[in-house]
Order: sequence, then structure tokens, then C-alpha cells
Amino acid sequence: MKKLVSAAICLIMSILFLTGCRRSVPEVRDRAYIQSAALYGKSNISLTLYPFEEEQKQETGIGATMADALENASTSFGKEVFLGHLELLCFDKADLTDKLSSLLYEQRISPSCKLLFLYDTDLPEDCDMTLLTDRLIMEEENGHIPETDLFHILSEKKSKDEAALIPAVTKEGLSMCILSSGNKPYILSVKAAQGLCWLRGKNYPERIAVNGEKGSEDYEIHSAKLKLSAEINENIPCITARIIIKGSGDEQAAKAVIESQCNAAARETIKLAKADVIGLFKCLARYCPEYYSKQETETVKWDAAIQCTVEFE
Amino acid sequence: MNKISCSQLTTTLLLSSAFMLMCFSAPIGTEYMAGTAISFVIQAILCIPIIILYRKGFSLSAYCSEKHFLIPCIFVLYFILHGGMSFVLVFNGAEQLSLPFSAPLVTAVLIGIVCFYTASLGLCAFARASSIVFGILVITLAVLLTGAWQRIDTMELAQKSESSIIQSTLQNLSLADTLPAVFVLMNFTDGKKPQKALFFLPLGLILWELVLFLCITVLGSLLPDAQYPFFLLTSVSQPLSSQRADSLYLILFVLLCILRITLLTVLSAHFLGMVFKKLRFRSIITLFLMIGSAVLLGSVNYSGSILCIIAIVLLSFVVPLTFCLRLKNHVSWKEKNNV
Repeated sequence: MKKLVSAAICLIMSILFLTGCRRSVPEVRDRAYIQSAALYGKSNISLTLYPFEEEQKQETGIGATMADALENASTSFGKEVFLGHLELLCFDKADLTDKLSSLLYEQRISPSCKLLFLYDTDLPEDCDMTLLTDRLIMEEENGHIPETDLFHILSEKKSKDEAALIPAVTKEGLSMCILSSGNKPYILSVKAAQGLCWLRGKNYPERIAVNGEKGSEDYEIHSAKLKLSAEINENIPCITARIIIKGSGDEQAAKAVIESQCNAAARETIKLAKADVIGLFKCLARYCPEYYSKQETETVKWDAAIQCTVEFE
Repeated sequence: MNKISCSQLTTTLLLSSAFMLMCFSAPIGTEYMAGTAISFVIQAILCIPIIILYRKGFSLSAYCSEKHFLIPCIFVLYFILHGGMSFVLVFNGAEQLSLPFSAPLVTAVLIGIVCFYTASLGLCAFARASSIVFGILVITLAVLLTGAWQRIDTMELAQKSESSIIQSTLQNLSLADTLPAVFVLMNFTDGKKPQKALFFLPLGLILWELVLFLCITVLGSLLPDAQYPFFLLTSVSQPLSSQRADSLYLILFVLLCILRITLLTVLSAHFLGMVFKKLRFRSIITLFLMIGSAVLLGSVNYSGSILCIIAIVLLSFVVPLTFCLRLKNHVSWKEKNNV
């Protein structure tokens, strides 16, 4: 009898209290699910949030801190904002990258969220953020720009030289930009951006246009992989990037195009921008640990000789 | 209490180790991976006297029933303190995983209520539940691996961490606080092939090394700043763009913490019953003492790893070894069916 009464009490209690209908529990309609955001940093931080729902307009919150701006934007929406599915985050000041880690950890932004740096330009009032995101993804898929996301960019910002490679919108169009502490943003050429796709080994084009024996033609790429290695020659680190490609078409013409793209990428990032966005530090730490541990950060990699070789299977 | 099987014992201990893995906070690198491997070898060595003892047919219950109160009291104290430390770990982890409880005390009381219920069902029900949670752990690991797979960069393995192999070994050994529970839990198995229970060590080693490998290769330069590497790993390991996996990690974390605190509660209440035979509501008393010790440990910010190692070695090695050496003189400590 006692057990029966206890069971009945438990059942009634759970029916009454465990329904999940507490007012403080947010329902789907009580939240604004944000698809993209734009961050402008002048004297205050201005945060514009673009929700997934097409019928709902974007709202802007201004505040001294990121949390302030977010709270004010949330007030403008009249509901709690959820950034967990954020697809694109645009920002116009290089030093705002320092605030991004708080968004990842505190606001639980998706680590695969794309970042876009607005270089000397603003987003238009009626900017189609979905189109912008899709365009950025297509550019990556086509191997025009290297694949990046919030997580990779934060990792690069935490590396020794604090330089990160970020897609950027310039007056000329979409490109890649290097943001490093204390330096001006460095915009890479189209050729260097394409070369970085090969040197970072994350994404590559499915075809490239080459000038072969029969004039302009396509070289189809079926698969490609990158192998980085390093050795020390006369106290200078020599890094070899071996790109092994499986494809069809004029191999010699393709080799010339890819090598010229890689050389442009190496020259612009290492020699001109003085930023390691290829992974030289990691490569040196792995293949030449003794040399790496003995050298000063600044003297190791900028003197490095990089050789790009393209091989075909 | 009823008997539990060796496989249930293995999953119980493995889940307890998995909880420590979720909550651990230390500088990670390849040195820590090596230190972890060494730590697990040391743990296996520490378990040898326990295995020898139970192969001889030793029964801890038979020993304690002869009015030997010192060992039960030490174990009660140990389990209550570690229960309290588990609560502290839950509070810290709750902040990282955004548990929907704002006040730590509310969290502690809610977990305490659940643990009281699970503890009241007995060790057998608890052991059966651990098999189910083990399944959830495997699914979670599969999700974690799927989400992290594309972000693995083996070049990161070349980076050095701040701690040496010896420091890492000691740090990991201090987290093996369920080792004394092996000595106690073996008492509830059928006693046949006790070495089977040690299967949790290779499984635990694989689990630890897998997660450490993922932490190093996925988190890379973010790792030195990560207070809780596992939680950071979960936040960046989202296999689907349309559905976040946070809820799965949250469920696992809560289940592991409940299982661990329940285990410590069941064992403490069991020993408390040996010392105070007429004492009622032993599980509730134990849970209150654990919450009290959690408040105490939290307020003094206790993190004494050396003291933990000493306690682990004492209770899982020195005590069983002493029993081993003295067993032939005390036939009454053996189980009656073996005598």
C-alpha cells in the first residue's frame, strides 16, 4: 500500500511539475534565430543581426561592449536572440577579431560560421546576406579562395605571429586579406588567394584554365593532396610543398599555372605581409624541432625558402 | 546487495573515468598523452594486490563484519570527499556547458535528489544503468569524432606543452580516484576471474588517448587558453550545420555525473551501514555530507593532487597488499562458500 501511495504521489508530482510549460522556458517563437550578423566598431560596437525569417527585418544594437550591443539588438527584436546557427559574420575593424572568441565560447556561435572582413566598404542597407554567404561558399568550393571559418581564424589569431587569413570584401570585389596584430590589413592578389588553396591543402578547384598546346583548355582535377616537409640548408629552413594531383589534361601547362599561383602566395604572405598563414611554424616544429626550438620567432620563417613542386599521379 | 558482473563493473569504472576526462583541466600535449599511458600502467600495477586478494577468495564484507571499523571509516571519508569534489566539478562543468540551472546549490540539490533515487534502487540497478549510459557514451564519441574529423591537423602534435611527462603522469594519476572503488566493488562480484574487471584500464586508456589526440590535433593553438579542453572540443565539434550536438554532450555529462555520485553514495552508505548498523537514511546523510564537503572544498579552492595520489595508493595498493600478506592468518575473512 505504501509503495502504491508513493508511486501515485510521484506520478502526480511529475505530471504537475515536469510538463516543461514553465514560462521561463523559451519557445521557438520566443527566439530570433540569427542567420548572419555585421559588426562595426567605431567608438561603440554596432551589431546588426539578420534573422532567418525573411518577413522579419534586421535589427541593430549599439553598445560599449559586445554583450551590450547584443542585448540592445535583442531588445530591438523584442525576443531572445540565438546565434548558435550563425552562418556569416561581417566586421569592419581588424581589432574586432579579438572579441570573436567571446562569441564562440559565450554565445556558442557555430565554429563553422564564415567570417568576412569589410575593407574600406560597408554593407548596403538592403544587403542580401543569404546571397553573400552562398557566394562566399561557392568561391571556396570553386577553389578561388582558401576555406576558412571562425574556428580556423581564431586558431590562427592565437598562433605565434597572430596573423589570420580572412575573406574580405573590397571595392573591387571578394578577395582574401591577412589581419595581423599591429599591422595594416594586407589584401592578397587573386593569384595568391588561389595559390593559398593549394598551400593550405583544404580546398582546391575542380578545374583550371590553362594555355596548352591547343590554346586555352581545361585541366580537370580529380583529387589533390598537399605534403609539407622542411629541412635546414646552411642554417636556412627550406620548406617543400609537394602538391600531388590526379587529373586529366595538359599536365605541364597545369603545373606552370599551379606553381605560379603557389609562388605568388608564398611571396605575398611570407615576404610581403610577413604572416604565416600556410603553417610554416607547425612544419618546422615537426620536421626540424631542434632548429625550431633554438631560433627566435621573427628570424625563423621570414628567411625560409619555399619550394613548390607539382607532381601528377 | 546483490552481485554484479565483471562487465558491469568495467562499465561502471570506465564511466567514472569518462566523467573525470570531461572535467579535467590541465596543459595538454603529447607529453600528457605519454603521461596518461604511464599513469594507466601504474594503475594496472596498483591493482595487482586487489586481484591476488580476490583470487584467494577474500571478502571485504566478511572482514568488516568482524567489527573492524577503521577501514570502513576511511573508505566512507574518502568516498564522501570525492563525492564532494565531483559536485565541485559539476558546478564548474555546468558553466561550460550552459546547464539550465543558475545557482550551484539548486544544481547540487537536484542532482542529489536524482542520486538518492538511483542509490535507493541498489547497486544492481545502478550497474545495469551504467551499461545503458556506456552505449550513450559510445554514440557521443562517434558524434564527437565525426564533428572533429575534418578539423584534425596532425602537425599540431609537434607542438610542446608546458608540463613534462612526469608532471602529466602525476596529474593523470590524481584523477584515477575510482581505483579504491575497484577494491570495494570487487567484493560485489562473483569473484570468478577477478582480473576481468581490470579490462576498464585498457578501455579507459583508449578513451583518454582518443580524446587527448582530438584535443591536441583539433584545438591546436586554442588549446593553451582552454580551461576545460573537452568542453572546448565539443563546442567546435558540430557534425551537422543544421543541428547542434550540444544537447547530446549535456545529456552525457549529466548522466555521468549522476552515475559517479550515485556510485560514491552507494559505497559510502554501504560502509556507513557496516559501522552504524542501525543508522537509517544513510544515502541521504551521505549526500548531505557530500554537498557539505563540496561547499567546503569549493570555498577553499582545493586541488590537492598529491594528497589524492597518496589516498589512491594507500586505499588501492597498500591496504589490499596488507590484506594479502595477512590473509593466510585470517581464514574468517574469506567468503564462506570458499572456506
